[in-house]
Amino acid sequence: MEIFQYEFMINAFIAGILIAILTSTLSLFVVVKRYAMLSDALAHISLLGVAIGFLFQVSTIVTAVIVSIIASVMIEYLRSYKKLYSDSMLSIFLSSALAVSVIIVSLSNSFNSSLFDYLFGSIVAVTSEDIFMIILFFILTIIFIIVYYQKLLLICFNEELAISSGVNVKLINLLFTALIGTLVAISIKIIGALLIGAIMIIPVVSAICLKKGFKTTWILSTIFSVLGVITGLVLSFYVSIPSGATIVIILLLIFIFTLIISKKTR
Amino acid sequence: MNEKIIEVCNLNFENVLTNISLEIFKGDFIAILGPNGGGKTTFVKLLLNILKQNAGEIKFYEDLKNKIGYIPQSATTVDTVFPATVDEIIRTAFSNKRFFFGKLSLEEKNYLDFLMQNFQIIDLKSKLFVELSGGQKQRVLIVRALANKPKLLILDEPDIGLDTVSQTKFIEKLNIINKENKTTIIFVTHHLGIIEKYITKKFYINGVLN
Repeated sequence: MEIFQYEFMINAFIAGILIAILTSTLSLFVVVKRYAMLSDALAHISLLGVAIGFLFQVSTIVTAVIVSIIASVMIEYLRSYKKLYSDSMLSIFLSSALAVSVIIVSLSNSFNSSLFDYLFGSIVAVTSEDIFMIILFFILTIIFIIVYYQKLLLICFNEELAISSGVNVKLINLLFTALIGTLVAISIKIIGALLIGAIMIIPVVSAICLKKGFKTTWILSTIFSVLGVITGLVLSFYVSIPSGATIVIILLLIFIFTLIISKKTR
Repeated sequence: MNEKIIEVCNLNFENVLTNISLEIFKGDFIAILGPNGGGKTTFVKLLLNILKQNAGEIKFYEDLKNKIGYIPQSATTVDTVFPATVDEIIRTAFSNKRFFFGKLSLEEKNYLDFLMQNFQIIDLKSKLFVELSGGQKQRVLIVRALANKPKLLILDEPDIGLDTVSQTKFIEKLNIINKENKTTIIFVTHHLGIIEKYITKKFYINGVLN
């Protein structure tokens, strides 16, 4: 196939499929915790990291990950210790990060076009360094899920039950939020900061519509997510349209399909 | 004489609880009574370390880690889209013991089946928890709470939403658990009703404990 004759497309497929598996795995917990805004907020915060990376001419993926992890830890601290409203706090973080990013961009306007790639995603932008980071993070996430799956499920079901069962809820929530921060930071290059929220949330909500158990919902959302990425990348290559937006549209179609199926089976 | 397992000394929490003291012994079936907003749930949350007291002390004379079964008031009102089956919810009782790929031992499996049969939820195993009625949810949560063979069982208004027949059956089963396994039970309620004939002690919380 013509599409696999280009190294950048092979990179995009590897990165895209791994990110699809990661997003559906972690986002299932995000959605059932009613914390869907988190991915959007962290995507905009990651942009700040990218802007800092450009400003100091260092690896943008590294600065995005660092800024995103710091912000996610702060968000979780304010949510669990200071008991502030989650959605309001996320809005504050989102707007503030965006404001600082815009100021940095306007102060040194030499990298405006590069930053545009991070807003909407670009398949040609995926490098070997990105693939390495994604694989490393993939392994880390799998280990985290194997160790904490049952505990995370219990926390999502009822935090008080989890505390009474001796689960270290604060530590797990903190680690989990930091993982989400890292995932968003390493994904924005291919998916785009404005679209990452969609790829994190739509496959999970589509799977939830089918009203299955937790593990089945997880498997279904992963299938939807991978399907969306592969179809989106192929379409974007042959029709010459932006990859991130195409993936989101495919996922939206899957969501509409599951919505219709779920209504018919009710 | 039964051994003391918990001692609460001069517990204070914000302006909700003032100088609460009580002793809990092995095998007690305690009713915590009081009006709505009187501090019953707050007291239970302090016992379970969900909240931290401003002053006072809670002494545990026995290691109860992983040996407390709890049914919070809020658990039956779980999110209407939460995608977990009855079986998945019950298995979270073992979340402290095993990883994702860990399987239950044959003994644990058999005990869970016995509990599910006893509480008539065996046929609901693969159903979504959110699709159950209030009474069925309550039975799932009690099976979950009993799965680890707890030494202490804390139930926060567990009879809310149950009809009189279900309430009676539920309380009778609790009484059997209390008598046969020597499980200490703390039952939070705003009315005594049918549990009165089974309880060994009752405490009334309305800011202070009598």
